[in-house]
Amino acid sequence: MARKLLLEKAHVENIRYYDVYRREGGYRSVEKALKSMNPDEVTEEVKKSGLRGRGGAGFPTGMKWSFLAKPEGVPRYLVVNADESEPGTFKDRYLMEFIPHLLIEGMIVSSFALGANRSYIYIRGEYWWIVDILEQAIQEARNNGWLGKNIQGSGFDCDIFVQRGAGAYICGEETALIESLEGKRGNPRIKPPFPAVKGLWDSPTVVNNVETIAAVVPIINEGGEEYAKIGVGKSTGTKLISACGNLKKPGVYEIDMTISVEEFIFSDEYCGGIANGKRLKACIPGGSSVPILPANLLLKTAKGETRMMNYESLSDGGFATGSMMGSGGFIVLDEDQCVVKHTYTLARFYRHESCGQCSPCREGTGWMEKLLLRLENGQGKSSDIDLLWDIQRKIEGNTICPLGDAAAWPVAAAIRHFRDEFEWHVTNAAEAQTRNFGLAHYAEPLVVQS
Amino acid sequence: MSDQLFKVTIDNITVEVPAGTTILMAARQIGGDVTPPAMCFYSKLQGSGGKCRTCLVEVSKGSEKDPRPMPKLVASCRTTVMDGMEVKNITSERVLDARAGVTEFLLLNHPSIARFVTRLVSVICRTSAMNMAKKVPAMNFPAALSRKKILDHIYSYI
Repeated sequence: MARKLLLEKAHVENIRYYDVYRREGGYRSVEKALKSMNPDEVTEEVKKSGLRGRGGAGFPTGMKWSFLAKPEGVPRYLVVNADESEPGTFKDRYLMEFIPHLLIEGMIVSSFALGANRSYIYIRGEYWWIVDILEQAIQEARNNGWLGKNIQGSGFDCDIFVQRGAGAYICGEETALIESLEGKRGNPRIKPPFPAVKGLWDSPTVVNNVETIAAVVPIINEGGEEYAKIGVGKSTGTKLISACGNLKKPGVYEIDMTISVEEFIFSDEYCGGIANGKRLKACIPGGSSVPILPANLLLKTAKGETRMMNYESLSDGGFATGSMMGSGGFIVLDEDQCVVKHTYTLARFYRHESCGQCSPCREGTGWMEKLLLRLENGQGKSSDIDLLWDIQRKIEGNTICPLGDAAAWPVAAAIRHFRDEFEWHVTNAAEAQTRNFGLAHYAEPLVVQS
Repeated sequence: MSDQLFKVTIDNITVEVPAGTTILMAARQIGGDVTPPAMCFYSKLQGSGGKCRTCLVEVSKGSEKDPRPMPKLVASCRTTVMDGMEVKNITSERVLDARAGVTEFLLLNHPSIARFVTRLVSVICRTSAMNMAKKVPAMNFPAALSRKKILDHIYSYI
């Protein structure tokens, strides 16, 4: 049985309310941090824990915190990124909905470490009911002296505000989030300057994912070194995975990054296998913007090793034969799913969510969507596939923010691994309207060339 | 700070500029083919630039202190120079490729594409190289353009 840190108490009755949460050992980390540690020690603990950002990029959190500029007389801010809009990712919603106090506890400790007296939760507008849950939790914490002036007699002031977004995917990008928080249109800024130097209202700002901030609580409670013992290599601690798609038991699971992908999909403890007795065709292991992998490459790496659920193993082989951990949105496709249609759905999403600021992303995402729609409708030409490849290559890396890359990677990976399915859509256009391509060789065991 | 002079090398030509100058303005001091084209950047307008991505350049050496190259192509109109920075513009295949891609994206959904191609190419050539502008013929495109023809035309002048 895997160790649980974040969701351990998630199903205790009424854990959403302060009294129960406190009785179950809540706010111990705040007591420990404020009374026996100084801010640098907290940052040092987080560094020792090897905690990596859970929002997608996997950047070490402790290092990010130490980059924060600390000029005299300028306020610093902590912003929690709860704008979880990636298709397939819903782990933060689960966390905030069931144990909102864990996030608030983590935010108080993190604010203390960063010296931020005002912290914000930027939550996506569609999570309207979670705003109420968070507001209520903040009110409870404030009534019990965990927020406001002079917290628990330590002399540290901290307050948390919840800000609702208006439903834009791009506002999950940290600089666009800051723009939106300032009341402007959510357009990503050109970096540098980075938010750690000039972020919210031109002050140093740290933007972290909900899960990252929540993970600070067990780190402080147990100590960074204890936390680093969980997991393997540079993938320390536990990770929330939101599994969805053609699975018997989709949902949010907490894993300790030592299990294999095969175990995660097929064991009864986790997803319980593919629904309706079908076979696995492909999987996106980390939210819609990471490359899709066919079943044979998903379960085994190109070198023939078993693929594990952690940052290193999932990205083994680069983008040619690997993928990314991303934000943990685990989307599984069975043999009845059409990869062309799937890619079209993602391309449509990115065309809709592109902010339109810089040319490659604004024009390229729309072009890719049109071509994929044409292929899906059976009017495609074989040159369209090469054209798609050409377009994604020209978008990737040439844009201001990572949305351009995120739009290009799924298309690139789909063509790289499922080219015969695209070609089948061109050559058998009429048939493609009535039946799917099926499994082909994607699920066959991988032949390892030695 | 502002009277400090930074040495920048753009396409193997070294120039000294005051601190805080952008790569684009440094390249304009050199002039000629070295200057990247810039469409959304207007030097007198604060905060402009960085959007059209035609001015992308490759920074092959960050600075004297930190010689690591920048992993991505950067918008030269919004990136300030560092001492000892080395920039590749027309000597980098990657830049030319990306720039042709960006230009293609810009032309993609334009209603009067034929007229626009001519104008865009002349704008790019004028900003990138004064002497090159003379070489640009007044092209009349047929109403229906193939992608290849547009691309060939763009590639031949960037």
